[in-house]
Amino acid sequence: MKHLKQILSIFTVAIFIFSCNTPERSVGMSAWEGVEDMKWHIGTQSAVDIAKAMDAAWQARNYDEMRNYISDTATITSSNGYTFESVDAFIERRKSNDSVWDSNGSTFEWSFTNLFSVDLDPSTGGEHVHADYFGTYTEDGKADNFRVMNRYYIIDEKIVMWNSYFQDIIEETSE
Amino acid sequence: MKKTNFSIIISSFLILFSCEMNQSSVGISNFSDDGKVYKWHLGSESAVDVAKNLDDAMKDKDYTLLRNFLSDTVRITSSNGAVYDADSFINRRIEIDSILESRNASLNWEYSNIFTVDLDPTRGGEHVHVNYSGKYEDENGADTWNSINRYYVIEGKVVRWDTFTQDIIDKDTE
Repeated sequence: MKHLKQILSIFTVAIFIFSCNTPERSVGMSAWEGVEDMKWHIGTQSAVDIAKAMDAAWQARNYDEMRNYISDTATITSSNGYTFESVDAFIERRKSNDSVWDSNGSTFEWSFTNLFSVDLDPSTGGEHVHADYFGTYTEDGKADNFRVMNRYYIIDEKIVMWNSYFQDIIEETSE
Repeated sequence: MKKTNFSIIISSFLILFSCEMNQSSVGISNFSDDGKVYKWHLGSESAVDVAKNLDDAMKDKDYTLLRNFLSDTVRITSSNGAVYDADSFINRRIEIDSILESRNASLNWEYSNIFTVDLDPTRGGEHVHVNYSGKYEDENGADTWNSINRYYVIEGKVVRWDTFTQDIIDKDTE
C-alpha cells in the first residue's frame, strides 16, 4: 500500500511537470519558402510592446525615438504599394506630411484597435505583429475615415519589415 | 485508500488547470462587449479549416457551398469599403465571373498564410487571418496585389469578413 502511494505520487508529479512543458500549440499554415512545414504560434508581449512604443513615438511626432524601433535595413511598403528607399526616406516623408497638414490646417489622427503577435518558429528570432488602426483625415471640416492593418516583422526589438493594408470606409452621410 | 483517491482527483485538477494556465496570450484589444480587457490567444485548427474550405468553394465557383460557410447575418466589407450581406456578395461574385468571361480576363489568387487568434477561448468566435496574393489579367495587361482577409468565425460560419489590400506596383507596366 505504501509503495502504491509512492508510485502514484511520483507519477502525478511527473505528469504535472510534463504537462507544463509540452510544446506550445500551433495552428494554420504557411507557404512561405523555407517554412512550409511550420504552423503559427502565439508571439510575445515584448514584440507587441515594440509596436506600441513605435506608435506612441509616431503619435508624438518624436521621429528620433520612432527611428530607434526600426532596423537600418527595414523595408517599409505602404498600402499603395510604394516601398520607401530607406528608413530615413520614410521618416522624411512623415515630417513632410506633418508640415503640409500643419500649413493647411488639416489633421491626420489614428488609434489602434487591436495588437497581437504571431510567430512561425518560437525557437528562432522574429515575430509578426499585427496592428489594426482606425484613421481619420480631416481637411476643410470634411473627414475621411479608413482602416489600416499594419504588419510588422520584428527581430531583436526592431521592425525589419513593415507592410500596410488598407480598407476604405464609405461615409454614409456624405457619399 | 480514500485519501489516495482524493489526492489523485486534486492532482488531476491541478494538471488540467496548470495546462489551461499555460496557454499564453499577448497584445491588446478594444473588441469588448463586457468592459473587460482581453488579450489574444491562439485559435483552433477548425476555424482555419473554415477559411480553407471557403477558399476552395470560391475557387470552384461553387457558390452554394460557399453560402454554407457564411452566416445568415454575415457582414462582408471589401477593401474599397463596399458592404455586402451573404446574398448580395454572392450575386456580386456571379456578376464578376460574368464580366471576366465577357472580357476574356482572368482573376486568380493564392493564399500564403493562414492563422487564427481568439480573444476569449472560453467563448465561441475566432479571428482567422488569411494572406492572399491576387492577379487580374486581361488583354491590356496584369494587375497584382496583396490582401489580408480577416474572418470572424463562430461555430463554423463566417460572421464578419473584412478585406484589407496592399497594391503591388508592377515595375513592367508602371
